[in-house]
Amino acid sequence: MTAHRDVELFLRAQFEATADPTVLDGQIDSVLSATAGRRQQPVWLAALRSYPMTTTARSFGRPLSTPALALLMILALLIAITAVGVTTGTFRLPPAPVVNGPIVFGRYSANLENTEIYLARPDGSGIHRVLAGAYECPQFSPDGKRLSVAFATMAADGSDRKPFPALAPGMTFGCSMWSPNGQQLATEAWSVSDPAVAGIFRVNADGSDPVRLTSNGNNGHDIPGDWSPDGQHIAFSRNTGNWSDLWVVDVADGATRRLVDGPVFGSGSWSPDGQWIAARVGRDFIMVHPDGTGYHAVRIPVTALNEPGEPSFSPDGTRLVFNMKPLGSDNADVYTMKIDGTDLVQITNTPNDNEYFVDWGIDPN
Amino acid sequence: MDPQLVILARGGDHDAFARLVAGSIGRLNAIARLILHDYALAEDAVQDAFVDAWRSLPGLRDPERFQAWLTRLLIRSCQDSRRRARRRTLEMPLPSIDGPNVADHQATFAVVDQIERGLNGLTIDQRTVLVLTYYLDLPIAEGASVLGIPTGTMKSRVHRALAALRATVDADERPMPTTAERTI
Repeated sequence: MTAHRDVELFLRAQFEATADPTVLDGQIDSVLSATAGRRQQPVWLAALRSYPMTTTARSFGRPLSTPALALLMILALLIAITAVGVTTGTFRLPPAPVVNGPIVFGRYSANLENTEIYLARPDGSGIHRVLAGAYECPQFSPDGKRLSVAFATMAADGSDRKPFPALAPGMTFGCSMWSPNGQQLATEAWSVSDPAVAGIFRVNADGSDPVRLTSNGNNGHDIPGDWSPDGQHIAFSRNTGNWSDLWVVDVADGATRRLVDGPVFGSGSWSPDGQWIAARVGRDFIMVHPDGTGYHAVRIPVTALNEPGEPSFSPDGTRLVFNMKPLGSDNADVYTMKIDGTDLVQITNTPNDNEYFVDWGIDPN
Repeated sequence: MDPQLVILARGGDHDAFARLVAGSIGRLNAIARLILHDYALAEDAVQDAFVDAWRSLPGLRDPERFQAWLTRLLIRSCQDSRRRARRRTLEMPLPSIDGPNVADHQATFAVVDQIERGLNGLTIDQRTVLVLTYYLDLPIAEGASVLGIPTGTMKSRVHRALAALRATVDADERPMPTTAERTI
């Protein structure tokens, strides 16, 4: 067998030839015996789930002063006093209001058989392709000027692509999430030859100096979600075979703790104020405080649509962005809604295309 | 599969559920055995999938999608098998030679044997994506939905699983090194 395509041909034939549907003696009785005495779950609990990845980009406004034309000298003095006060920590100025910028998402390309990256304005207008190549899991940097994708970062317009260096022999980078100061990334890494080494690594923004943060330990995957706004913790999903749970890791010492027992869909989007972590359970979004309290569901205000993806906070923390599939379709569109589950807005309307890998950046201007 | 049976079972009718089990257990056996390569583990995985199905049926909103939903539960049950402590002997039957239509049956059997040994060397995750793609013939997006992963990730996992399988097959075809080569 010299041609590689023959492997697929023989594999298909092999499966057909060896598939054995034989029902063993007593097997059905065993199943029925195991289920006969069991109560069914209530509807709200009986839901399905899975485990992808996402995050939300966020930014912290820089103090700004509004110049006055008159009383220039007095104003200069006030600015100097303000600067000294801020520098010494004597007093703080409120951050400038954060403005929601573009939404980035991946769209499956049948030609490429892979993902292409698109941008859209928050109202759904101005949709355009940024990258024609095969890139995955785009995430805005905190200042909204760059994107991380699998194995690289690049400018938000697709230029200035900087691939990551090799992590270690045989190991591969996955999706990456920016730290709040934009100087580091948390990235999934794994090895095809040794599943036991899979985990999350902290790397510099250029992919250098990897430091292990987590080890899955179950031959599954740890997939990073958002960093906390103070940069001290990272939410992540841990797949241990049957489903994924929502966890948090301490960036300083790698200590982990489980936040939500699965099944959870999503690696955790951290609200810009640091108060909530959002994910999906069943067909609802859930929010929980970082200490595990306050768990509650946020229902999506539709009945004709199902299968939402994982939610991600807007930079101003007032809305969630996510993808969602219509009933009976494999093609998801992008939506936003308020964090209380109202004001659903459809961003894309492409019944023949599947859109995923959704993230919301700050307005860099 | 009769949607009325699903609706009845969803409402707690265990007799209706028994008919659903009888109608789908053979198909689930075949899938689980291909993924796990272990008859006993496959039997456990199928049973766990049905138990999960019975408990979770009230959450199934579209009875027409019962089979796809049940397959999804089985795949997850198979993935969970690697966490089970019990280790069992490989019990796969000898592969049939009713493979691709090639003239030389001896060569075909050799290929079948290569593929089988290659599959044995894969992880459960890798065999899962191959079974979804090349046995169930699910499109990449549907396979990704079953596993709960992005489409691109599904595609890369299929690619890596095929690469691992090809590596095994290629290694089998590579001639043995000479004594001198082995010495180096």
